[in-house]
Amino acid sequence: MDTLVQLEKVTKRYDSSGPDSAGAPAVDNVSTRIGHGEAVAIMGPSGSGKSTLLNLIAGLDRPTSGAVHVGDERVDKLSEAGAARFRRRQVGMIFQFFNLLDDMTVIDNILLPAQLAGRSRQARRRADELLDTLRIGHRRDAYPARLSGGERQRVAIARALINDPGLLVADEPTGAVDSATGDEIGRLLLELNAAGQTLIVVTHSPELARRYARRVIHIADGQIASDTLAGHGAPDGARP
Amino acid sequence: MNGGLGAVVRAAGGGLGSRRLQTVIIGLVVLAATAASTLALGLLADVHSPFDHAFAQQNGAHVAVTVDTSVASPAQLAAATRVSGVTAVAGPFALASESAAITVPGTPGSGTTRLTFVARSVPSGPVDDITLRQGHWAAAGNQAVVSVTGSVPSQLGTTITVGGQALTVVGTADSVTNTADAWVLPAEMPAIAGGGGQAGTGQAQLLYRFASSATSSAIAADIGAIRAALPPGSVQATADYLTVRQSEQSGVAPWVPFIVAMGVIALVISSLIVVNVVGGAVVAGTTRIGVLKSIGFTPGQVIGAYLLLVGVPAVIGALAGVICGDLVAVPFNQETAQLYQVGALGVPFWVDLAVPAAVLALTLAAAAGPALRAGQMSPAVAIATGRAPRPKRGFAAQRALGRLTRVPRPVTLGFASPAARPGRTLITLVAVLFGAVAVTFGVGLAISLNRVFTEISAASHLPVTVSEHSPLGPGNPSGGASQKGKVSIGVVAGGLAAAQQQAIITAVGKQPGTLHYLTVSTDSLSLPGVSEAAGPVQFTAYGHGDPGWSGIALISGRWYASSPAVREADVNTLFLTDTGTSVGDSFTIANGRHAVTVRIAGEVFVPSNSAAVYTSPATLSAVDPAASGVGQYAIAVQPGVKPQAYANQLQAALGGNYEIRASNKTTTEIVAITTLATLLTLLIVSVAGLGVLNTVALQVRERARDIGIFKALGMTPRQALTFVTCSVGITGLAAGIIAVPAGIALHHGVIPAMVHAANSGYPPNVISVYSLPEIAALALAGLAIALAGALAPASWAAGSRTATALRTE
Ligand SMILES: Nc1ncnc2c1ncn2[C@@H]1O[C@H](COP(=O)(O)OP(=O)(O)OP(=O)(O)O)[C@@H](O)[C@H]1O
Ligand SMILES: [Mg+2]
Repeated sequence: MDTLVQLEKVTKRYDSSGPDSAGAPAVDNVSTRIGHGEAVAIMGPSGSGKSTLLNLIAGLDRPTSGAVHVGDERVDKLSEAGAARFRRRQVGMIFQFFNLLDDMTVIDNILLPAQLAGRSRQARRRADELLDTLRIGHRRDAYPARLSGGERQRVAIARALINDPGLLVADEPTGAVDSATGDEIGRLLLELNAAGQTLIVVTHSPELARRYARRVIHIADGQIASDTLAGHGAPDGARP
Repeated sequence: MNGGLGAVVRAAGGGLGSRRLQTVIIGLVVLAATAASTLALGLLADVHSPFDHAFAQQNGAHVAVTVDTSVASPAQLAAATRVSGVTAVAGPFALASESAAITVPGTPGSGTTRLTFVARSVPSGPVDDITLRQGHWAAAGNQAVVSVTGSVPSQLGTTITVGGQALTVVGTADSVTNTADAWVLPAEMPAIAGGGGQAGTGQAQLLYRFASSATSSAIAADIGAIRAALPPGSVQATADYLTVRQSEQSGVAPWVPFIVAMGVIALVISSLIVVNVVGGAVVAGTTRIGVLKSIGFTPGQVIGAYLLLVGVPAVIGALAGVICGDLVAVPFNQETAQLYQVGALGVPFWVDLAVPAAVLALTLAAAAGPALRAGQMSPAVAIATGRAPRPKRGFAAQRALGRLTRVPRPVTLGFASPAARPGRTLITLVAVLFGAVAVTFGVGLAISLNRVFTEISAASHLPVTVSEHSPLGPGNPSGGASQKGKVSIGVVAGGLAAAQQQAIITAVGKQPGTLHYLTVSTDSLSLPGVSEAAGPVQFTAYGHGDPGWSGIALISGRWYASSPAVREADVNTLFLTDTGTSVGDSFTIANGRHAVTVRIAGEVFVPSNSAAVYTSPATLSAVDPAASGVGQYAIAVQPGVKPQAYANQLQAALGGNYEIRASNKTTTEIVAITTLATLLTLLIVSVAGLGVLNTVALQVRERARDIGIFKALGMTPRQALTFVTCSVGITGLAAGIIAVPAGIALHHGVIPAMVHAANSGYPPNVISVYSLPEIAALALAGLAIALAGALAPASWAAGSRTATALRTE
């Protein structure tokens, strides 16, 4: 399996860290590889650095040291504009609180990344497909405020997939919904992965991780504490 | 005030205090508004103050009366000093108005002019306490002191020859009401008056101060009392200080409408921006207000806290603004102060008090609305949502614009933004509108002034003048008698002899670069029925060519016919108003025994305090056979020829007996007024820009999360810049487009008011100054203001860290 994401000795230290966290990096010398088509769950206690790691992979933030490769891109070396273009093409992002735009309809939210990339025309058909796949076609012209949590997260997933990114990252996608809805979202993500979508999901739910991810990375104090394939021991990428 | 308020202020500080930018904007806006208003009002208040200052200092004469001493006996004169209402009298001083020859040391030749001599043994006195400027008072019979505002050069050692007597100028002095051109010792007067002899046929000057003198009717009553005390026919002339004061102020009066317009714009725009700043701070502080109220703060305390938080930067801004306004006013006032030599003139103290007080009151009034809204805000809503309840406005706009697939998405996102906060958008629009109106108006004003001062004046069309070298300086062919707005006796340029004229014509004919020339004859005459508020009627006769070459603009009618047989004249607006005539009428110019009836062929644009008549040389000599004839040649040079170089060459050809001048086109007056207009426009524009800055900064702050999402979804910094810029650009563009007709309307209202204050009508091209390309460029002024104001916050938005913005949920 060829590598999609490669982290080499990645460290992130926030210069504006409070006095309590002085010195301790949020991500501490992390190296790992994630292959095409993998579904990886990242777990760990609050404040352990999961979101930070995800942001580094998505090019939302830059590491203090180390290298982040996604596909052919050296993500940590990209300019702001370069990172934005990288995210547009390569990364779909899903957040705990959905981060939908309140003043835009479902379809406008979904189309936005394509429109920013200047390919709104081609995206219309893809959007209709996604509305179908994610079973929110009937909500096409609704505003986010009128949607349930599960519906909102499905809109967010559709929006993340509109540009057919190679990598889908999700930061606690089920954190703000009840467990039944969480299950449904988990199943959706599994379906996507089954269709070949590479997936990195940060989650607090061991249930979700066990059921829907083939590989689980545990983070503690910014370091990888364990990296296990469900029932198979350490994956290739974790070996030095 | 108890400890509670302090706590509220500290607690509510999160709504404004921590928002340093908003605090700074309030401070700067108040500063700019205060500075502009202080400057504007300071200059307006100053219209009279230099004169009043000098008048008070000198115990200036409310009324000056010239009495014929051959009619009134010394006893009658003495009685006339005791009429009721008089508080102080000076005189009688012997007076004589005589023709005198003047020679200035080191300057060849001599000039002749009519001077008013007054006999005073000392300069001081209970009335008209003359200020000595140079030298000393006359101490011997052959000495004289000349007035700094009179026509004798203020140079010690100058010789005045009158009645066979040679007087040496030993001092210069200033009388605020210009009671004389020269003062001599009383013993000298018989020799001067009437060339000696004829004792008892002299004149005397009486100078009065009255208890009631504030209005012209009070003055008229005072003069009536004096006349009643003197024998009929003995009062030859009366002059009152109000007339002089009026003519002094009219130098500034034309600027009043424009300064008022700019000042009002500055105040309106500042209030609007304060409303927006405080409104924005309240919205931004919603959560905090909710929390404060839920733990027991009263609405009153919240309102008070907001007002106080506006008050602090506003007070600082107002104080700094007064200082800036005062400092900027210094150079403008200095010009007038120099003219009056009254020392340092400042912005009056009451302006320094009233302006900041008014601006602060306005600021607090503007802040009151949003502060009241904060007081009324429901804490439940604020706390429940965790952020300001976001108005559900602008959704439709967002949706409609989202459909425009051909336009880049960041642009349509930006265009949809103003709809989300229509109130704030409207205020921003009006603020930018006023800024752009100021720009349109300011540009038009500058063009109009440039037309008035340079394009349509004789000095720019006939830039080179040739006259006989005279110690009195060259004649004043077109400007009228008033120099620097001072009333004085007109200097009539000495006539050129036929041989001299022939020499000039030959030299001008030979000199390359000559386009054409006019002969200029001037005269000043007192005509019955024409007010002499600022001196006699100024006559100018252009000969030897088309009077239109003078460049003086016609308001209506046409130029007089050049033919010597035709009796026609062009007159300025003041002449028409004074005589109640209009273009096409006939008017009989009665100069003693010489009465000539002329047809008024046209109205010329010559704003002045004195009536002006332009006619052919033949008509002028018919009116006044004693006029000195052609005194000047005024030459137009061919395009590309530099007037100064031409003048130098002509001087070399003609030699030192001729005075050749090249006009420099920029008068200090236009420089001063253009600077002032530019300054006020810039102040207004920067206030408008600060308003935009505030709006965009608020928007960037309020939409930080949205911008974070956009960026997470792949919006590049440049796209973010576009988005934010477009959000205010559309408002700016709209404001700019509305501003052009509004600014033109303001221009078309203010300019006529200005010229009317200068006693004149105006030719159409003084008003029609906006050409199509200019209008198009001016329409973009609003956009430019908006973009300039948006630049900083837009680049913050572009550079903001995405990850951080997304955490704020
Ligand atoms: N922008 C930031 N500035 C300063 N410190 C930060 C920033 N973002 C995160 N941190 C710190 O970095 C550490 C890791 O934070 P991170 O958000 O990655 O943890 P997490 O594992 O996602 O926690 P949670 O499960 O609560 O979401 C924490 O100590 C946090 O306080
Ligand atoms: Mg996290």
